[in-house]
Amino acid sequence: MDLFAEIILDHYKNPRNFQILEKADLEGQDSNPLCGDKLHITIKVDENETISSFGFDGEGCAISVGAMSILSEEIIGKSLTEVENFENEALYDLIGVEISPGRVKCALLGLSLIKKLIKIYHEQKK
Amino acid sequence: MQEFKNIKSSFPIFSNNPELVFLDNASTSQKPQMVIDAINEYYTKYNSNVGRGVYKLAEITDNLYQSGREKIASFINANSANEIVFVKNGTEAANLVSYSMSGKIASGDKIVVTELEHHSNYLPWLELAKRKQAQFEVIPFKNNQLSEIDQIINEKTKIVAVTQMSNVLGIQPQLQEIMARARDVGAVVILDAVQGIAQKGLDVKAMDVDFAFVSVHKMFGPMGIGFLYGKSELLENMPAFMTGGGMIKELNELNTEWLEVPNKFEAGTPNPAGVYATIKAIDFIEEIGTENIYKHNVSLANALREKLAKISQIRLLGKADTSIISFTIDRIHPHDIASIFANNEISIRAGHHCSKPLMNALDLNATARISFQIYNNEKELEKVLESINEVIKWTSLLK
Repeated sequence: MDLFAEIILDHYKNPRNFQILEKADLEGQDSNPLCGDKLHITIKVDENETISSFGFDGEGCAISVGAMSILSEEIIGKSLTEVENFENEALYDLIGVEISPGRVKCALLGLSLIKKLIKIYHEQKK
Repeated sequence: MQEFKNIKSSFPIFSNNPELVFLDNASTSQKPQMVIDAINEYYTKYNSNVGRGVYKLAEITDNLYQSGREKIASFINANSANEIVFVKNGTEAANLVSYSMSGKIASGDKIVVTELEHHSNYLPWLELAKRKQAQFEVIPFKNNQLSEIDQIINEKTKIVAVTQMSNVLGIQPQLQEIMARARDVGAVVILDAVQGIAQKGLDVKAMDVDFAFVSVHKMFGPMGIGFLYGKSELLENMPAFMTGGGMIKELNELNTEWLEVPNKFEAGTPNPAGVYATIKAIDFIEEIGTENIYKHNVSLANALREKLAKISQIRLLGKADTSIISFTIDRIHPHDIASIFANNEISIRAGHHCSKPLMNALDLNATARISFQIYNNEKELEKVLESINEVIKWTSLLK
């Protein structure tokens, strides 16, 4: 795994959308029990369930923070359903470095939490 | 360190992975050929179930199993082989004691653990306290030692759980002080010897602990086998933990009578191959001597610690004269440190090491951890330092 990959390094150094949104429609936290990474995610959606803004904070390794930052840019403007169907492999492609099996949980920490929040959001709306 | 120069060749993992530098020994040790051979030998020559047959193989297995108990009893200076209960690991041992002692804990009693504990000697006691509405208090770890021992262990205290050696820092807490106070107030002491035994040995008589538990895989043996030591009078007065095959004398519809200690605590088919391999693991340790193992590991750790102390970005935790180095590096997550090491075929550990209470006390989420064992050598320290330099180079890009 090349930790020096430019994209990851850039996003780890300057994470995008690194702020907690007030009055978020979807909000939650998760952590990686192995390494103690923590993410707090907030999402606002419009009337069509399209993500209008996204914010997160937390603490973690280059892979978890970098992946979250990269993903945050990708999903703004997408519908919740689209994001729910976002494939892990698509995220790996965006990250641009090979994710070793031991780091998969780091890479997917943000995406898994977002999917979980969307599920809860839809269940509550029923 | 000369005398251990060829010891690496006793461990086939290194001939199969010639570049491997294994420094995650606090997590598990590698296995010498003689231990691996014992498992093969058991299944190819003796395999049969324990305590159930009258045929020759069953007798051999019974003898092996019993001789394992005797070997351990002698290794840890127990009074009798009947004070040794086989379990699958340390976690199971702690759970066994915490459940079987439930009846002796009442609301208002106090259970004490230390901030140094691995979750395996913390969570079973926390859960017991919750089940019985007992008080639960943690002895804090400050300035590299436990503090407030005398205040926290008081007349209400029924159980004190303490580690022989921290799996994060390698520090050995003040067991004597804890024992003295526990004896004053009549509390039972359970010692987590998982990390300590292969390096410091275990003398239950000298330590006078009431219970001690060990996972054999950290002392050159296989995974899936461990043992609990308990003083006879305590084990005899505890009810069974798990029930089922192999632990019963009488069963008459609703009436049960358990077998004697230790069989009472060994429900279900046990792990005789693991027990046989444990005998060999103890042989291996005795051949070298725990003092020599510890001396070797500490000398490597001290040499590395000295080098790391010169690097300003590194925060070293714990103290010298231990066999484990936990550290952090400014601006880089421990997991990323471990990944850079992994790229260079060096196995180190990053995370909270199943020791969240200690991480909270240190105000950290995670550390990187390097832990030594007898097959490590000075040449490997150079490789470690090369990886450290690579990490430091990486952090400079994050400025």
